[in-house]
Amino acid sequence: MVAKSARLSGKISLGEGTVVHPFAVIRADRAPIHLGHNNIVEEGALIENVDPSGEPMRIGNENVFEVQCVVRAKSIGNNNSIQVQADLKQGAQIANGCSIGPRCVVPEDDVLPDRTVIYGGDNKRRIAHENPPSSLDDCETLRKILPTYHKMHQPNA
Amino acid sequence: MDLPVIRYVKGTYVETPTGNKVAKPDPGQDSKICGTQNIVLNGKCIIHKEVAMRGDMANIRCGRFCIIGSRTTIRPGNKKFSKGVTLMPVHIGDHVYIEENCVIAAAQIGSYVHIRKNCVIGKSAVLKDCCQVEPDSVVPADAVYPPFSLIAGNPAKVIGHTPECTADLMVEATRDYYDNFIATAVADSSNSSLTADDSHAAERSTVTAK
Repeated sequence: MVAKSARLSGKISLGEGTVVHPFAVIRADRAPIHLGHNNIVEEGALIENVDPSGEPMRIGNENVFEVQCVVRAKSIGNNNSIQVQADLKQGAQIANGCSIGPRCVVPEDDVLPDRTVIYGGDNKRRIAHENPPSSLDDCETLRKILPTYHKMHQPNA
Repeated sequence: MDLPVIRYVKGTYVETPTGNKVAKPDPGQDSKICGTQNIVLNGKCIIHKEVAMRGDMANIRCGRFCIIGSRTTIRPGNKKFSKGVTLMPVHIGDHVYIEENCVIAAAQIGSYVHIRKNCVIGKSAVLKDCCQVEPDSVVPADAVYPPFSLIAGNPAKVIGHTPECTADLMVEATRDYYDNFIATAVADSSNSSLTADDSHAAERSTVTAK
């Protein structure tokens, strides 16, 4: 489910049930981006593959990319929550169930283990005991609401 | 405190009968204000350029004399209940001043609240009346702040309280801002009182006029 006012360019593959809000930007001009199932990309989020060697960026399932976050990571697992204005620098690798707090930064080429939480102004880290809440219900609600207000791309268009 | 006169080119803002002034999108760009049938502006609000309001997700209600700075996003936050996910409507009180580049996903913002620039207000947060949020603060999701709190930091904490006359100050400030937000009939870049932002707007409009 991709809103027509989102800006997508290059080779992008989207899994089933992924919601791309209006005004989100996904740029795969240099190298392809593969998004899994049931991801949410909110408005103002930027997902860009800047890999110089043309390696594809792989993003798993059930991730949430919130407003104005910037993602240039190498790979992202499942069930992550990238919150408002978070910044994932080039080459970062994120496992599963991580939660990157508002305005937090993941430095270049950093590898985050499962369920890492980054929070606060000085990017403190800890390991959570459980995954952030699933995006499945949100996806479902948005899939109902968005087409009533926005023009959407037809699947496989 | 006297606020400077801000001039804008007539035609770059839509004016409604109740005195709301809403910036038009630049030519070739879509308006980021979605679901306008669910957005209520109670009058004399100023919505600046490139403000995103997601009325398509849930209702957004603004009181009188709200000023929303450019590039700010106002969107309903989602909350999970046993029955499923609900998108929380956003209520903003009267005489609220939100500066530039904020992301607001609050459930409720009281009256006379001043949110300074680059703030992030988390999902379903509640700011009661007369609060002030300092620049670059990050208010966590579901947080509730009592009236008269001075809020700062990431994650945001109450660091003090605002003066008892905050309500009067905010009424005066927002009224002044509204009264000093004046349309100019023609683009005149030589006008010394133009701010940098507005001179850009003036340039653009002369380009489109050509």
